[in-house]
Amino acid sequence: MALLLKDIKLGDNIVKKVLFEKHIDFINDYGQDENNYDYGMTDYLRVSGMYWGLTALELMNSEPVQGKDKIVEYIKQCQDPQSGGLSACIGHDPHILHTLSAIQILVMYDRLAAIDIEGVVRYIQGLQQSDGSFAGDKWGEIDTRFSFCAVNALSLLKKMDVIDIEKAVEFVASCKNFDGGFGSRPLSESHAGLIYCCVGFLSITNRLDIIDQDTLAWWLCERQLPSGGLNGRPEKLPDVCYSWWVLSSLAILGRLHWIDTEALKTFIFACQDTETGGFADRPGDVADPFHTLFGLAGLSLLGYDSIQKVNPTYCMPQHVIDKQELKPQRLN
Amino acid sequence: MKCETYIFKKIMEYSSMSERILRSLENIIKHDFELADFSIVPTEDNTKNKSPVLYESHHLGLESWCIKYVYQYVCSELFKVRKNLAEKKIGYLIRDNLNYLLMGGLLINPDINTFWNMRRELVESDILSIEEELKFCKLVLTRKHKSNEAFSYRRWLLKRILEKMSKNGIVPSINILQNELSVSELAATGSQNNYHAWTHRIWCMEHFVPFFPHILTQELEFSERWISEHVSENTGYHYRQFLIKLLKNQRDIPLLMTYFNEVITKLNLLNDGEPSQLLILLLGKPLKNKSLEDISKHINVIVLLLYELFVVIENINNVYTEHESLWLHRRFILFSLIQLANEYFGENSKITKKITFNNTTSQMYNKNFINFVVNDNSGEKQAKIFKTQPSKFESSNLYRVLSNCEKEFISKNTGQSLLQIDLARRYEKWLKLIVGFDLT
Repeated sequence: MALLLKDIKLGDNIVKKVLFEKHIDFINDYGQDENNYDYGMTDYLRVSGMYWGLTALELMNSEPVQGKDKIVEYIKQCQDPQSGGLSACIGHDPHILHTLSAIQILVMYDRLAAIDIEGVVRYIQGLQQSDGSFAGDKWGEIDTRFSFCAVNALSLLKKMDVIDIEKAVEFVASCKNFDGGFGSRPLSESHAGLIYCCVGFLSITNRLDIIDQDTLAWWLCERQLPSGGLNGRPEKLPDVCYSWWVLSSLAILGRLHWIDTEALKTFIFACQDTETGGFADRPGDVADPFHTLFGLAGLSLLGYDSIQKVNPTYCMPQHVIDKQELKPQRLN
Repeated sequence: MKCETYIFKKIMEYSSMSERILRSLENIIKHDFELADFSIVPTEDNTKNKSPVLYESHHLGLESWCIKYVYQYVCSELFKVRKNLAEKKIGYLIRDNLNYLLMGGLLINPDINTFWNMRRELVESDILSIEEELKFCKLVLTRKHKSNEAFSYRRWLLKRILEKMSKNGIVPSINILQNELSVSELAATGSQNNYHAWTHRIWCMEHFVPFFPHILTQELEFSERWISEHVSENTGYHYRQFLIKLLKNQRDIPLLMTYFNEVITKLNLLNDGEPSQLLILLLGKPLKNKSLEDISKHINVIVLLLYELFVVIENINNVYTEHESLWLHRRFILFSLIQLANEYFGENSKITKKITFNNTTSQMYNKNFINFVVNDNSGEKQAKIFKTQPSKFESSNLYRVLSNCEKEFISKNTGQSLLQIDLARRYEKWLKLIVGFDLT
């Protein structure tokens, strides 16, 4: 009988360990050639790309070859002096997505003083709307991702008091669906990436009481496929990044043990590129820093020893979050 | 020195080539009102030594070998002026002459937020018209169906239209909405489970339905057709769920007769009374403090939900089994019916159930929780269910109808493939353990 289920079949020779050296080289070599055309094509997400790569290195107890100073210097130049927001790349327009990535890198390197923090706080504060939601930039697009970015960055800066938290929570709560999940705005479809943003948001604002814990955990568990990997929505293929978003949400909800963790570990191992290094979305696809971070972070939550412990809310090393004395809420 | 001169000459050559290509694209886009789509055609190299712009019977294409040069040229030209444009410190000659660069840049890479923002600034200073912009943006979406930036730009344009009209007290034209619905369908057809396309459709319906409530019935027909043809796409079912919720808040929609008649037939009832009799039959007399108007707002929703259960899902499942999305859609329908019943009775809209999951770990079983949690009351109990007083819903005819209907549906589907059996079991467990609707 043919199984119509959308899933992949794992090969036989899966390397059941993390190829640290290869991944470290992969991240360090990635997109270093400024004259490369592909490098120009991905300008629009460069600072976020740096966050993925640099956090991956931290989780592997390694440091970037180009040195932290050069990175901090680059980020500094991405700040827009007028609005205070940061852009993905020098000369591009500021946006809350890259503002968060920049803050995460600077907190990780303990170098916040390099940029105008007051400016960043003013920028984020200015993006909150009267209904509590957040726009991504001055042009007004609304998305629960931006709510998460706002409280994530402000909590790292210890400036949560500048926004209306109650209203912000109200907006996120209004995006909850019957299946316990959340979408990008009220009435949007549940989506694992956006669920992570909303669960993360509620964990930072200490309002996980809003969540229907078992209903949501049930939906999240149903994302696991026979291959062990998790998908982000029903009848989609498994993917390493969704594996992280589902897994970290389950960890925050205290239901990590509801999925078959051994099978997921095997799936993530299989997504490593044993030649080039790095992780891909699925076994055999091209590796990139984005999936490399989420592969490593997933394995860290699953208790892989030699990877730094990751914090499920912030997707940053736990020791960095501890140093900031942040205690995002988690359920039992 | 020689080498530098060579590089300089090459750059000049590429620049003028890029200029020619970009102007040619702009020219076609501006003058062809029936332009169907844009694509980038993979080619090895510039072997034929002719223009890489391909244009035939309203299809526009660009050979891939030139992308690199054109894109780099566009970036270098646009970032030269980015800051001055934002600060309005730019000469009008330059300002009026940015569109062709932005068009080329965004056709090649629609993810560049900054370029869309530059277009927004040009719209604000009336250099670009909203109508032309909607058209260009659609062209971008014919190639990149999932471009969130492009959809976000559309919403920004639409908001401007709505604001302007509301200021002048004018009702927007339905053509605007029809155009958005067709753009979203185009993108949804181009990419399966296209979150951005459906989110956009939802946004448009929310903003335009107050002006055109009758569009809702048209959309219900569209979505029934869509889910029957895209049985594995959760996004399509979600959109239908959105429409059902939207219907709940529309009091001005007359009774949906076709659905009503189907439901009456399926329930073996005679169609000889007031439609609201159906509610009384299924749920009993309304509370004393409720007027007829109060209860009649429920009629369309309950009819539609039952129609979905008896007809739509039934028909799809008869032909296409093994689709998780269809089972999840059924969950929504059941959940909504119970919620509606509780609202009717003025009870807490949350379904009363008391279930606690024991703290067993799946590692012990090496299985996913959904698979190992048992569904009967014997043997190992991972879930404890506390019996509560039956609610008004549980004493209603609707409860009996649903209970029989679900039992039959589950048993009918457990004699099939392994996957279908698994989906049926999961559905049963969800009803019992998450909703508290016990069929056993």
